[in-house]
Amino acid sequence: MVCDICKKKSANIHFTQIINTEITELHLCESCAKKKGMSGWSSLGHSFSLPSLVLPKLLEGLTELEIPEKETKCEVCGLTFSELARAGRLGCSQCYKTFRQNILPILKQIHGRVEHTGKVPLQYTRRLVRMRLKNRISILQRKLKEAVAKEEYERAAKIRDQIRSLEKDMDKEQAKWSSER
Amino acid sequence: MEFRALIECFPKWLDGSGDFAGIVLSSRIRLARNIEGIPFPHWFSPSQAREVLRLIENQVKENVFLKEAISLSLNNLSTVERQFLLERHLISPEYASGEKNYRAVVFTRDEVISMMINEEDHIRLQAIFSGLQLKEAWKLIDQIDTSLSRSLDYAYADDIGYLTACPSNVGTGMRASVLMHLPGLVRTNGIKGVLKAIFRSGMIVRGFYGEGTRSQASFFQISNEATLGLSELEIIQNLDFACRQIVQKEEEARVYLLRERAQKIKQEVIQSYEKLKNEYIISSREAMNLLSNIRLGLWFGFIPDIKISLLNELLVFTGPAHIQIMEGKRMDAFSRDVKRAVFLKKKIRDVSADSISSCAGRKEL
Repeated sequence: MVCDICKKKSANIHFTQIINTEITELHLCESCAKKKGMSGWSSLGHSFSLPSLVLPKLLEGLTELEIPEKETKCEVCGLTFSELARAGRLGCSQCYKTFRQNILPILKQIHGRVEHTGKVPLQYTRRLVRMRLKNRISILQRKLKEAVAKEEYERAAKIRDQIRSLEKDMDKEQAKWSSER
Repeated sequence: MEFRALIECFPKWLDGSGDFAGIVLSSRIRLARNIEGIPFPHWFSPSQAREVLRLIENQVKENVFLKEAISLSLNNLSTVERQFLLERHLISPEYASGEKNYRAVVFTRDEVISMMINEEDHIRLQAIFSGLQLKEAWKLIDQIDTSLSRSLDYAYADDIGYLTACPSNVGTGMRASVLMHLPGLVRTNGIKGVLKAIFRSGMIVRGFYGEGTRSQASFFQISNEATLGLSELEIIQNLDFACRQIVQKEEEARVYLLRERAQKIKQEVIQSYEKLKNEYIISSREAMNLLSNIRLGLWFGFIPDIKISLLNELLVFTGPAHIQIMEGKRMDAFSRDVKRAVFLKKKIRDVSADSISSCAGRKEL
């Protein structure tokens, strides 16, 4: 079998790519493979990626977008929009907020839907629980102040008990948390 | 541990257990996870890379599922050793060829669970099972992921789920893949229709080693495309359903072949079998093709009873890096092909010497 590119040397590197439903075969000699940037692994004869054929469709989507004159830049990791478009990858979790308007249509294009319905990480649930408790405590503390200011001591005592009970819940959460660690 | 010792290990996912093990080689589930507050690997600094590696390695040491696991730093591995791990499906092609620092692969001794640290995402966790066992794989990887998340704060947003470097993995961060052997559909040209149907139902097809690799010898890897909008179980159920249908189509194609072209297939199978037993030079591509034919022949009952687990093992253990690790030295393609032939001959002859019943009962059709 001769090389598909130079048609001279014998092909000893073989690819089969499936793009949509088309199965394409590519047979290259080592020097042509090297020229195409597929060296390194070639001597091992096995599998490696063929970047020119497997460009993620995401990238196509991104490069079609117009790059705004004043570039948006992620304040946490410094990734700019043009770097995002070039790499097809985000820089950090904050980038998903920074470039939200650009990313959402892409997510929709790739996945069809943009709402996560799967697993929720433990720490996230924990954080939510703690946050809710904290919020409720701070609301109650404000009420407590009001009650004291209005000299409604009976009500204040009730609120104080509620706060204590919530604080206990916080401690319990904390204890459960550290024991599982 | 000396790297060469790995050649003596037998990956559990090759043992031929699980549903439809003759047609379905393996079920694999991979989860992508990142640590909140640290940029993704293509964008982080070397000191952040080191921090991620340290954080995760510390968790691994304490993790009940992973504390006995083997951990190898990629920088300490030669090209052949990396290729070996790729042939074992423990790392991806991209990870094997990359040159970045602060990367490590962690895997349990049975190779069912593995983790690439600082690949495209901080964590790529994988569970791989023999045959069609997606639910089992999910059950296990879900437990391990949860246990790791007790101390690792994962990047997550409540509307779009787990956050990953590439938007194509956002949501569940889960890619489930099933490696199937479909020679019946390839021979009857039914494969095109099946591939079309797979694409229509939102799945993707790839080659033997996953992303960006070629399909050969009728091996196809079917995976979910969308990772967002469906729960993990829904994704798995969809893929499982699709695979069961493909298995049925493949079986129908084989029945057709048996009815219409039995002699031709038999000839091909017996020739492949004799080749494996007698050739002196066999390339890895050829080995894969021969093993593919024998796998089909075994299903038809055309050849003596060989265990599926042996065919699985030979597919992996005849890879170029496996031959070199076995021999303990770097070898050029020609010497590898010679050694591969010796290895295959020995393995196949050992079996045929053992087997008393020449033709084990044909699989019920």
